Amino acid sequence: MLKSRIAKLFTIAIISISMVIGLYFYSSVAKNRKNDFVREFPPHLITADTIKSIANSDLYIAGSNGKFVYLSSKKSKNTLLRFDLQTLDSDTNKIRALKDFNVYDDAEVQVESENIFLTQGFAGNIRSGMLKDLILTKTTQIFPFYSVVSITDTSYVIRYINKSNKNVLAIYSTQNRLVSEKNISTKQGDEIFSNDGILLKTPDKRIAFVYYYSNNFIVTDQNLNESYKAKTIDTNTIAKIKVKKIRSTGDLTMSAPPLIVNKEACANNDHLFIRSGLKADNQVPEEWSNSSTIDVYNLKNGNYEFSFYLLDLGKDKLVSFKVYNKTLVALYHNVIYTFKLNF
Amino acid sequence: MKELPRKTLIELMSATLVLLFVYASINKLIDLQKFQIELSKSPILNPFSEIVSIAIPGLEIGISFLFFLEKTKHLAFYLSFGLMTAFIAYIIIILNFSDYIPCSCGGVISLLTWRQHIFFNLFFSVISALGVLLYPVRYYRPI
Repeated sequence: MLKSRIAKLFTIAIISISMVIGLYFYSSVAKNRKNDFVREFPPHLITADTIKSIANSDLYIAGSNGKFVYLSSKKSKNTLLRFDLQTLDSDTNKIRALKDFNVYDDAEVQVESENIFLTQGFAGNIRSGMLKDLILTKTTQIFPFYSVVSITDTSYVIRYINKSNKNVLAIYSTQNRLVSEKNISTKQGDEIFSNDGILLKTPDKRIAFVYYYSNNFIVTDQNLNESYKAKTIDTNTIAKIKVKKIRSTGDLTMSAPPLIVNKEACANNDHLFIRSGLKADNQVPEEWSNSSTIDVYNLKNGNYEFSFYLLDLGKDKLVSFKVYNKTLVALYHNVIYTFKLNF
Repeated sequence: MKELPRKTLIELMSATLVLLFVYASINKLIDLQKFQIELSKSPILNPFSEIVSIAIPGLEIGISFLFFLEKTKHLAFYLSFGLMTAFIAYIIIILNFSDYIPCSCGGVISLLTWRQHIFFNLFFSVISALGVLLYPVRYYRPI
């Protein structure tokens, strides 16, 4: 009696599990279609340099002043870890402020040459100070924005939705307030999600905007005059996302897993580096899924040059990466790893 | 095991499962459209989100009903074991093989971390399995 019941339970477990596995295979076959582009992987583009384990897995890269790279914590937002870019020797410090203020969930620390910023897009303010004493002394109150990069310690480029409901970049300076707006709306689909992306600055103060969901990016000078528009190598010109409204709350939300084309981006003065979300046809599925693929574009004209891999360290996938001059800093959950660029 | 404690135990276990299923299904049905959208974000369920969004609470309510009838109580334990196993398989697959992790659970269950979620489901599948195994061959002794 007992035996037959156990056998039945086993059968049921197997049926249930294989039904879910069946669904998984069905959806992954639908997903793994060809993307119609190929990448180039020349050998020896990067050389592994130094590796150091980190205790905390909720860190992100806040910036660099050329000598150190700074990490901050998503949970304890006033923590600033400093790693020597050569040796990865590190220490931990606390950021302080002259006056107490509310710190929200979206608060993010940015380090830029000798300045430190704490930006809160939802509340629309930026607090800034000097890296040498880590005291936030100034407050710049703007209006809600999605992202910000600092040009000087008194002027910023922000991305926000303007009064006519368009996605724009704008320069905000503490003397002149808002100056020169640039429309970056791609006029496809919904305004908010389709035009979402990564705002970044090169060390020589050019501005780039890389779209998450379509294969486009824009490069401008520091006054937001467009240098060029370019395309990433994949063929995804239209953002493949679906948006629906939840009737009970009025929230706009995605209604299908988004196809992220460009997951992360950063730049030095010569190249734009994009961590791509799409597999090229000449990449073997195993090597694609056990690594992060970084595509390199020439910043002069936006042309694709080549790609390289940042391999997973066992089960630990790349969290984030940044390039400072010829050093690439790769942040994993358990280690920080630097590489030298040979190009 | 003596018949009386065994029966109490069975009743207790079926009550626990009914409570879980009714709570979970009501939470989903209260805002069905939201549940549907949450499911459509799942990389595995996206193509079937509409059917699944009705089928899951439907199954949960259906199984709860089966627990109330003496004839079908044993079957209900089997079915809830199957459903809980499917949930566990789904969580494991989505945590390990998907780069986008949506959450579509309702109410307090959505506050659990994924690890807690697996243990939570494991606990209820163990209860269902015990229900199947401990269930007396004949629930009421013939007089």
